[in-house]
Amino acid sequence: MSEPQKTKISVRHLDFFYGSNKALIDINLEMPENQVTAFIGPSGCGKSTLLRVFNRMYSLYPGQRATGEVLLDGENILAPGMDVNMLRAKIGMVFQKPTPFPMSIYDNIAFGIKLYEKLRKVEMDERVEQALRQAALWEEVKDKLKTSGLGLSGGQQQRLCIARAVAVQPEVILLDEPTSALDPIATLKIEELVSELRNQFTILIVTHNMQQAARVSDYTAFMYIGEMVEFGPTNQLFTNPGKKQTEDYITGRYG
Amino acid sequence: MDKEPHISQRFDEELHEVHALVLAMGGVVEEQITNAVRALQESDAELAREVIGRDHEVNGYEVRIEEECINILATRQPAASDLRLVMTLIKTIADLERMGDKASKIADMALAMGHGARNDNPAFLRDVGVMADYALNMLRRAMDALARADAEEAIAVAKGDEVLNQEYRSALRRLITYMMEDPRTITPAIDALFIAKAIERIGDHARNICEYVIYLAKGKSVRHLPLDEVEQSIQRK
Repeated sequence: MSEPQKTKISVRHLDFFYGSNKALIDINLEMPENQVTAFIGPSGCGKSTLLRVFNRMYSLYPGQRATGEVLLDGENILAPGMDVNMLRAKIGMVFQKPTPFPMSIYDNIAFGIKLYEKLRKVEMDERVEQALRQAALWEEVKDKLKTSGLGLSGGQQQRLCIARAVAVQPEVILLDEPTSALDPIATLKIEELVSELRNQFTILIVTHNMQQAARVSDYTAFMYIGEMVEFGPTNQLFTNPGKKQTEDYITGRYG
Repeated sequence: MDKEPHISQRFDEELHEVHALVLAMGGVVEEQITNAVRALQESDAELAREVIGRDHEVNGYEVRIEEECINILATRQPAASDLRLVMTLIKTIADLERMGDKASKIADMALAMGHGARNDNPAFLRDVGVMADYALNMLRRAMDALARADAEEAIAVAKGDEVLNQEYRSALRRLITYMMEDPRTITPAIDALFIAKAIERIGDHARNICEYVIYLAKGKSVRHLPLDEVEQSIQRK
């Protein structure tokens, strides 16, 4: 449990701006490899903003910029020369609402792979199956791979999106409130999946559900109005937080 | 504990209620021990029977508090200091219940000894009186520390348990001497020994409660650690 862990992503003096509005203030953080790090905090605290920095989503929008450093295995992904497409192959993302493409289940998975690799049909079949198995969806869809992804239930759609993310064999997976649109059973399935995927990927999850953060994560970061208030092992943060602000938030008190 | 209120006022009420119940249970246990020891010293059979009859009240508290705690865990999923409070209360009532049993046992002995007119040598019970006062004081202070989540006081009380253990050991030596001098004292001396042991155990339970209070206040489990180490680690924080 206490063996030294390799840092996968380190954030150093990160500031983030929506135009002139500073949304993240001097964030410093080290996220260990093959662990689940959860981000919690009230709405508007910047946790989703932070998650979107990790795959440079923000650079799609004019007026949004980040300063400081985000090192992925020591390489600064904020550097101007960074190949954003390659970055997104390494860092996959799953959103709050399931976002399957309007195509077959099979093609939903194959689509992303085709962007990065040329595979023969047999190899592609294998990769699709592997991804669906990793997302614990294979047994449910193996007989209807050619039917539309939109025909699946919400929970299945979300697992399809996770399969799509893992199919391109990323190193990091970003989950932005992945279960907020799902019922409790589908939620548990995703949580179960997260604990399995952490063996192969480094996972960062933003969640409004504190019990979920407590259940699925190894480390938890509590953010408040753009600042990182506390970061530490999840067990400790939920039983004996170091900061009063954290205590007030996780115990449901007025902060 | 001066804490800001929860957003859910009902949650505050639930925690407050169960906390108050535990303190009330502590009060009943304290009374039980006091009365049991008095019944013994004054050969008051009626009082002894009252103590025995009231043990179910202590057990009732335990059941009710445990239920309330389980409800809170199930419905509120408490975290941080709330979680520590609920865990502390659950553990505390187990020790209080055991102390209640000891009181009942002492009352049993009071009855047995009264019937047999075996306590003709008051010297046997002298140790018991001193020890009982000390144990009761520990219990009272432990419950106070719990009420205020006061780790410093809890440490001081826990440390005092060693004094009670010493008292027990010297009582043991004294009683053995009586028994060796005159075999006819063996029966009453063994009775007195059992009683001293029961009181010594009450001190251990009070110490346990103090350890939970330290966990409650500081978030560190200090069970099975030497108290000096605990004291240092608390001051460091």
